[in-house]
Amino acid sequence: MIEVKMSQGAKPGHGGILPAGKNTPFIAKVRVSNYHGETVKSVAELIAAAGLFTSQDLRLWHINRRISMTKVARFDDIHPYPETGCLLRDNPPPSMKRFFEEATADPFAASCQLGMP
Amino acid sequence: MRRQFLLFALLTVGGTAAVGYYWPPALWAYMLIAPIVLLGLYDMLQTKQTIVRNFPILGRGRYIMEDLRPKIYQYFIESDVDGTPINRLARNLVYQRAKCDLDTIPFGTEFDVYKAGYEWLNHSMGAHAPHSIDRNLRVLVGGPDCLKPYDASILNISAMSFCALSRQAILSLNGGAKIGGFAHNTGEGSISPYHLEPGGDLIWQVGTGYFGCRKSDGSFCPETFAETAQIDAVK
Repeated sequence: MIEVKMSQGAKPGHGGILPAGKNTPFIAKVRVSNYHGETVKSVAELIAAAGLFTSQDLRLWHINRRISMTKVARFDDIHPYPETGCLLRDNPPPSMKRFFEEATADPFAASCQLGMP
Repeated sequence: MRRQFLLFALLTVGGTAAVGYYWPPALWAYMLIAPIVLLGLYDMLQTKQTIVRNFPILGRGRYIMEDLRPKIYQYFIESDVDGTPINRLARNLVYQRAKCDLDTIPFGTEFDVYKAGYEWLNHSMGAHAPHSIDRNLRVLVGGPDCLKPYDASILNISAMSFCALSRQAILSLNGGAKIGGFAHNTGEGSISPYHLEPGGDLIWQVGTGYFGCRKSDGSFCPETFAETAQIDAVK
């Protein structure tokens, strides 16, 4: 049996050489565009599977993260939404509390330098 | 090892000479022996590399193996999912999508879904057929007061300056942005002619160096900023 292979494709991990002639400016930009289009399409498939219509419909609670072998957390548990206007009321969420206490509006220096003689 | 090497050199050179005395064609063996012995003597006498000085000839094996190590690691040892920052699986995905090849393979995942850190989106009981929703996902930037709101794609090209990337790379990325209708971030190196030539949408990045809107003393130049910001490609 004789197989005549008419082309040689470059695949990562599978060898193959991309001939210089194949790597044209046109192919290069089409590949950029293809990658974009296929990726966005793939996101859209996930969104449709989640019963949503657009990426703006996505909320933190749609995404899950496994935090141990036996526990799963929703993203809104891990990263709770801050209360509207809480930064203006000087009532930052717990995760930012320390930064608010340490920060000052006057000097523009790293905090380690503040207490130094 | 230096002594062993000298012994080896003496035995091979002397032995060949002795055999050659009775059977002259054996002297051809010097073709093989001479380079090894000479290289070994050079290794012994040089003072730059301790390893080859102490282990003439054999020490060179270490350099060969050091050279092969990353390749062997990458091709044989590293798994599909543990390379950083980009693992093989993610890289293959880019290649497959760029060529419009099949990018998903049925029968499960290569990721350990029971490992802490695994993330997913749940499937809904009321899922829609993929083609029933608008698959060109976009976000409108700019409110009702904005004169030129921009309908941005959810995926765009992140900031990589010209010179960090070659002329051809910038042309290809921007040309791709033009075809696919998405935006290309210039990086803080600002807008080069190659960012404008293909005609794709641009996001102009201004960094701490103010490149592209900088006075000669290094301070911010409002005039050139205003001028460049009005280029139509700059969204």
